[in-house]
Amino acid sequence: MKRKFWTALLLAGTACFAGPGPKGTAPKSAASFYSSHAEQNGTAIGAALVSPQQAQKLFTSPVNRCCTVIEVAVFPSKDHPQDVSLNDFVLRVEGTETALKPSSAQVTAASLRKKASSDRDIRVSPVVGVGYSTGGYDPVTGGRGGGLERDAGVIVSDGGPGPKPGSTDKDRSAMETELSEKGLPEGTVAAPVAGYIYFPVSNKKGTTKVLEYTLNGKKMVLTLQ
Amino acid sequence: MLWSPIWGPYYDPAYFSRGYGRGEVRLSADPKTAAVYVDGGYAGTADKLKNIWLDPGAYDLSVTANGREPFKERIYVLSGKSVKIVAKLSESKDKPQP
Repeated sequence: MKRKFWTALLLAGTACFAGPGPKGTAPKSAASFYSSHAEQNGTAIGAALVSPQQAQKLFTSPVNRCCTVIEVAVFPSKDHPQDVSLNDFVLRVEGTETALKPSSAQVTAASLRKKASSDRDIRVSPVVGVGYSTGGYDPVTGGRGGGLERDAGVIVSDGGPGPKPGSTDKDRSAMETELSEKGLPEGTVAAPVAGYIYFPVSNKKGTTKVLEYTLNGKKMVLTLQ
Repeated sequence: MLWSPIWGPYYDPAYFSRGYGRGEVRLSADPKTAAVYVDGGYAGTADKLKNIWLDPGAYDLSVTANGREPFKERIYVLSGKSVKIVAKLSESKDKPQP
């Protein structure tokens, strides 16, 4: 009896300290509401490419600096729970041979932090100085110096005081939390789920991307533009 | 965060002042007298919290006012970055408590 009590207490404690897991986004009412969608054996998938401008509004983390963001929704068939895993997704960029797997929130946040730390923030500020000196006798020219003096130039500095935006370890942790909480929830799902997945490739305008989702060994292909 | 036996958890107003390595939350709320809560702790009224400076991290922001629907949002703060939050509280469907 006592053992059961302590086990229950331990489990409750673990649940309290585990913190929130990925929640994703609210799925639309059907896969067809996404710009690209496909269906196989009653399981539907919807996907939409998030433009860099949209990503700027949706995320505090500068995720568009490193990655292509895709919003994905999985609609499992009735009475058949679906196992959702990031490993089942592959992105192909038209005109290239590479097939990319999504990056985890942890890896994406670490990459963003590294990028923020390495970015050089050089400031060039023009300066103009005006002064007045009383001068004195110049032994070379024989004249008297002094009067108004003007000087112009530039100051080159490496940014102001304080850390570069997004470059601290606390920033990395905050970015990881955001990307994870907004990411596509993984695991066995019985109801529709949606969220973002992050691919480590820049989102160049005008390139066609193909998202592949492997469901029970069969590929579902979604073209994104 | 401080704790009052009457009001519960709350923050000292100085807690949200600008500091090294902090990020800014620019809050605009309607009504301006709405109460602002950060992670469940009372932070003050919206009119006095136009610029909230916080350490990098994720926070639960809520804005409430009598007779209005509460506004709740998960916010993410990064050092040197500014986040704009517009909390327009719509009229509550339920009648306000007397």
